[in-house]
Amino acid sequence: MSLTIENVSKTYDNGVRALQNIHLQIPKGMFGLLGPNGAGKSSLMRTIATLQAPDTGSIHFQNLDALTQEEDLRKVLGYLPQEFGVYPKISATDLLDYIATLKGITDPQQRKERVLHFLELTNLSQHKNKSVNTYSGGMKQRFGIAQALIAQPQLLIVDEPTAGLDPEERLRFYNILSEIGSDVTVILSTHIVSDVADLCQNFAIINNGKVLVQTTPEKALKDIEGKVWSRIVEKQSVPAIETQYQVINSRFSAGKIIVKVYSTVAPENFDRAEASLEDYYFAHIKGFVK
Amino acid sequence: MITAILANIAFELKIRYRSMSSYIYFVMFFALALLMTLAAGGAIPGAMINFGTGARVFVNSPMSITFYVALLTAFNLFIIAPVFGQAICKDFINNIDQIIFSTPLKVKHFLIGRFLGALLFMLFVLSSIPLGVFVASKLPFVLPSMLGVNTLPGYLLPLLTVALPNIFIFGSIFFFIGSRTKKMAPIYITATLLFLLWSSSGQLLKDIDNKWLGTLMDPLGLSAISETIRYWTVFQQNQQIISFESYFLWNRVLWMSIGFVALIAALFSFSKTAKKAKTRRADSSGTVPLQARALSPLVNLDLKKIKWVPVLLKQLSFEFFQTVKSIYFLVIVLAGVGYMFITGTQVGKIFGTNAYPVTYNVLDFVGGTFSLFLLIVITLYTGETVWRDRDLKINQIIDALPTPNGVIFAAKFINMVLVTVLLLTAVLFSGIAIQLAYGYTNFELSQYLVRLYLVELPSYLNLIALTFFFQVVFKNKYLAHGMIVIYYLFDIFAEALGLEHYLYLFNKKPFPMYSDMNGFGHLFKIFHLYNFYWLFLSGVLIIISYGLWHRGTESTSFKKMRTPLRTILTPRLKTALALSILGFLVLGSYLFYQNNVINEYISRKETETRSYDYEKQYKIFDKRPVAQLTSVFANVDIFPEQLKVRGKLKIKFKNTTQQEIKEVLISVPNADWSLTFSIPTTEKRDDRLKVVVYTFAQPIQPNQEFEGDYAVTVDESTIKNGTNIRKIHYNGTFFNNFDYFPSFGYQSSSELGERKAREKRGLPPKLRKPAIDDKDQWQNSLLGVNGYWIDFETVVSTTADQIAIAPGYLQKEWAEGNRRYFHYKMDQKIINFYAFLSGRYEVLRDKWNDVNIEIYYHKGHEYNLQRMVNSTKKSLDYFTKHFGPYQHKQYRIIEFPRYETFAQSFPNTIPFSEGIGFIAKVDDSKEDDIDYPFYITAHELAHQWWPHQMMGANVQGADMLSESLSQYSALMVMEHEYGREKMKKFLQYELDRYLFGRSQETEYENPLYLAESQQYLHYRKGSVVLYSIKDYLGEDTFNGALKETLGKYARMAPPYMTSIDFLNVIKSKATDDQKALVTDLMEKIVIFENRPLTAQVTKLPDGTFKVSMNISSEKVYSDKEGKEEKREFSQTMDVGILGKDEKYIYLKKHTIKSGENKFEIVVKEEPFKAGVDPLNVLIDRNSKDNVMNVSHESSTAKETALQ
Repeated sequence: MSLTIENVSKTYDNGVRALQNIHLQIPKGMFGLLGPNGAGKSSLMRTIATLQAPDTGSIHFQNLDALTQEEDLRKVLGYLPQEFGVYPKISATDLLDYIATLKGITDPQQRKERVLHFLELTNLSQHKNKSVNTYSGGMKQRFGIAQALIAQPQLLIVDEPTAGLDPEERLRFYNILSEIGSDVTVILSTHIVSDVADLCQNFAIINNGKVLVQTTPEKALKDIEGKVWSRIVEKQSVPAIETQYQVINSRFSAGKIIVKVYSTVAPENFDRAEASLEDYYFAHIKGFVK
Repeated sequence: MITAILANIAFELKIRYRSMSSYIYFVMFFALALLMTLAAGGAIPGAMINFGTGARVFVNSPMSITFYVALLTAFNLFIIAPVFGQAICKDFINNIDQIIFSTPLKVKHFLIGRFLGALLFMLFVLSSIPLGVFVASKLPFVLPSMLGVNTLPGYLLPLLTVALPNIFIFGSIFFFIGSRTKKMAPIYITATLLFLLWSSSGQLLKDIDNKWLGTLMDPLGLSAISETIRYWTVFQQNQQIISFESYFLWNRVLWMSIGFVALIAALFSFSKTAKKAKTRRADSSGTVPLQARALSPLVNLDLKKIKWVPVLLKQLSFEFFQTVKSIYFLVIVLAGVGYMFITGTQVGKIFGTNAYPVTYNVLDFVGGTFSLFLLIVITLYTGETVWRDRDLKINQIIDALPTPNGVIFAAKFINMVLVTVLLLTAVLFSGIAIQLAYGYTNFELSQYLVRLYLVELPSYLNLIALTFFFQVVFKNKYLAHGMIVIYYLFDIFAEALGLEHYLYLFNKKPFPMYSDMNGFGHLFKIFHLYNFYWLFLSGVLIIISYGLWHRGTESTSFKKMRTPLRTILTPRLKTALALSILGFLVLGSYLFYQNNVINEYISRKETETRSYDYEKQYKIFDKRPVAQLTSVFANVDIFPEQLKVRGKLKIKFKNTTQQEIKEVLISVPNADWSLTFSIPTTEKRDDRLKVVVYTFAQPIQPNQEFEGDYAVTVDESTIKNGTNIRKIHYNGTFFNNFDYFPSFGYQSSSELGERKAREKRGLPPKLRKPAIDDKDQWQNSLLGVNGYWIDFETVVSTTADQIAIAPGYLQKEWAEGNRRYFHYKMDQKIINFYAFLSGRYEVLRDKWNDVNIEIYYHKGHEYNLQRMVNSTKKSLDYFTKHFGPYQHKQYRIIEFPRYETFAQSFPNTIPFSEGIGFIAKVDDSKEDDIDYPFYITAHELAHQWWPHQMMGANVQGADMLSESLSQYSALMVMEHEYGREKMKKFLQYELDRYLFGRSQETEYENPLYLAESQQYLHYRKGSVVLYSIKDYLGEDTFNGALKETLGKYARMAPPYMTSIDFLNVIKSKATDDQKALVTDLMEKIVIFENRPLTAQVTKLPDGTFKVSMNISSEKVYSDKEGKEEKREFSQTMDVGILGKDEKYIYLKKHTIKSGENKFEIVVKEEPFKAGVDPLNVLIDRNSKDNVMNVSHESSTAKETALQ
């Protein structure tokens, strides 16, 4: 395994138990960390990114102990936080150059080459002399990935990178991520299931600071297959169904409501539905799968 | 609407209620006010301080409370700034502006609410100040004599008249700035600018012509308050409450208006959106391809071994650029430079006259005032640099980079050092520019470099280290700023509060004062011992700050602080920490050894205790007969390069009293000494109080003579806390006999003098001079029990390159080895007060009749030598003509380093400080310039008559006889040289200093003839009063009286004369009207208020001009506490009319009655100004309104008719 997280727990000063006994084995390639807002994704990401220390547990990346060899880990780390600001009135080129230097790329020629390369890769070349704080959300996010990639990371952590992006920008972002070589470990946190479905070879679902499951999209689909059932009902009967069944979700369709439920055996009056990764996710989040 | 405002007020207050800093501010200012009150109230032994008021003003008088509030509000500026700044900016800083402003809330309600909330909060914080005073007044520590009646208005009014307006003014200005920029930085910059305005006003006020400009420009109103009550007597200060009047009124009107305008502008110009960067938003629309084009592969990186030095340099340049490129930094630097230039106009001013801008003068003036400004810059920008990544929210990216903490920390720290170096360099260039502006080109670059980068820079390094430490430990930018303000207050007041030892006062070092004569002298080495002591401590602070450096995202956790440093620091840093601590301890121990072991460390409290003990134990010797010295032969060897002096004295004594003398009390210096007598004695030493009692085996009989041999070795090379500038120097040694030789008899001057200290220890109040009718004291001269008349002869030696000087005529000069010897001898008896000097001198020689004039000066200080020679000749002319012959055949002026700034008159020998005349830059073409080298020379020469010929008894009025008469004599020489008009400016200064001096009186004011070592009386009032009397009696009559007095009382034996004898002679020459005036001026305390109400000119048909004047006149009598009473009177006074170019076309005495007086005077030339007592001959509280511009009646009448 590339990244091993064992027994990691974290309680903040205000009493919030952000991480509880996290165990994860993360291989190379794209790994999705899926969970609703407030599940502990960012806490876990920041912990892996050496920005905060866990109360207990250990984190190893390859042969590095992330808790004691912080500096060495940072050398192979690329991190894109969920939100970030920039220095005012500094152009993208200058800022990227600065960050590249702080990453340790001290050879000016090499640095210049890389700065231009990643600005090109992230489609920012034509805006490279503009100040980053004038960028739109999507451009800023692309800049964020450029800075995360600039020093050839072996561990790339991207926290909710597509939140707030329009579909086109999201697609652009995926394209950049897909350029990354397969021998890099990429952890992508998201609350959007399709991100995982589209990009990740492996993923885990996390909620309330706990890992619910770690699997692959194929396996997940296989697991959920045949356990999702649906039925079209009137709006007023939804509450009754919710008490009776394990409802994954319910959505409107032509004035009626389609209710999807989870069940290992076929429930009465329900049709078998085609299961998706989203169903798998909700089934776990809602605690239907133990 | 009201509810919206109230909701915002409540919101603002709730935030403050929850914030720790609110309580810290309140408690700190409460504590400061409490401590200040206790210190001023005499509760802290050894602490001697008054905060703006006179020493006898009750600590809880409304005026005192007003000063505490005003002074502490000045420092609150940097707390008001964030409070109001955050009130308006926090929504933008926290990015919830869009939520807040999308509510139906009206912007004005929001702003008014926030503003009032912040205002109320600040009022709450400042209310801690009167509360602190009140609590202190209720504690049992303040001396009863320092307490007045507590009144509610006394406590509340300062809050309403000083605190509230200031909060309003600053709050409005900050609100305005915040509403425009939505950022905190510009608000802090504004606070700094306001602070600079305040400091500048203080600088300008040193010249009495700048009173209005100086008081108006002070946003705090502090200078305006000081100036408004400048002449308030102690009584008034205790009783009155300052109202909106005079300077204070107009200052408040101006600044309240500015406040209102700012607030209204803030309300109307506020926009709901934060100003975004002006650059157009980069466009990301459609044209961007989804897929980047294929890129050529990159070379693999090898980041195993990173060279961090280039990274450090890059980050450093980035930080530096971030700091200095901003418009705010530019503004703040320009403001600082502008401030230096304002200050620069006042370089070395004495009597409103500039000194040459020699480098040390420029550095003292410019650099000194710049330091406060640098402190502010360091405080603010350290906060910025420490918190920049976090404030901009880029910290998650930066903190996850592999750059080690050490590199980040070093970059930020060095950045601040670079900023400081940059600003110090600005001082250097500004200093040179100021020198150039004066046309002075001897820049002494090395002095600039040493002072700025070796003396100042290390202090700022320590400050940066402390600021970093506060920022890291408190983890809150604004709280850390507040802590720096509190540290700074502590730094200012520590000594006043009785904390004196430099070893525990952070960053405290003995300042290596530069003198042209002595360079940095031995002080440089001592300075650096302390310097490195503190630098080592800063090293410790830096390493701890680094250890606690905040990285990552845990914002509230103090966990890291609880982790022992040893687990955080690398072995190398542990070594550095250990070495820093070791260095700190080693130097500290050495300095402690020097201060407390080699020297005896005597705190102020201990000094008081010893004075107390001296009085208690030895008072029995007071009034016992003392053997008189009749002759001294002194062998003195000066070793300047070792800071040593060896002296051997052969002293002859005689019992001139009618009683037997059984024992003698002798005060000895703090040195190795021995004393033996030609007759058998037993010796009892008291090493603690530095006195010895000798008991004679056989009592000394009346008229019996005997001899004594005294030997002393003085070593001044040791380190002594705050007093390392002593008497012996590499170049420019100057000491007198009381410094190192024994004094005989009980010294009442060694008693505890300060009134509060006496009261605290239960001693009765002490007269500063014995009462005028104390006949025993008529036996003692001005110098008290030591004032014998002696034969004096000395052989003094020094190094080969120096000249040694003592009173007397040079008998012989020779060299022996590498030393030079000088044998001086007096041809007549002198008073027992003589000095020794040694230095590398150039000598200017001249002659007046058969008197040799010699000036021993430092090479390069030739500027005013001719003025001094001229003054000497003119003075000798005048004094010999009007008073009597000069008793000596030489007059020598000897320059000494500027560590002290006075000139002193020994027989025919005048040590004269380089700081007060040698570098004066008198511009004779400037109407206002006063030739003070000329004046001081004349004054010191006059001392050869008063008191060296006419000695007064050691009672009240003695100083008047010596100093006032010398002031008068010098004034007359000046008047003859420069004309009567020129005296006006000089007398205005004297008058101002008299009127201010009495407001600072520590005991009570005496009439002039009873002056008791009160400088504002015997110098300042003396000048004005004797000049008035001369003006009324006429020069010849008054000088005749002086000559007669001199003839009658010039003597070298007791009993000596008193000021009453002098008064009697004067009165015998005066008319009744003049007698009444002499009585008023000399024997009473009288103040006039004279001014013209109208002055109209009518052109008469014959081409002459009729001036119709209405003059108002008042006279008040003051008691010794300053309680005044107006009285009716009738007296002659000058009425004057000035023509073109300020020339008098009419000046004559008229009888003036109290109230209004109308005159019509016809003059031939066209009048421009007219007034009463135009030359400021009388004591007048407002001397500037004595003359007014005339108005032209005929022309105004014509204009009216035309309309």
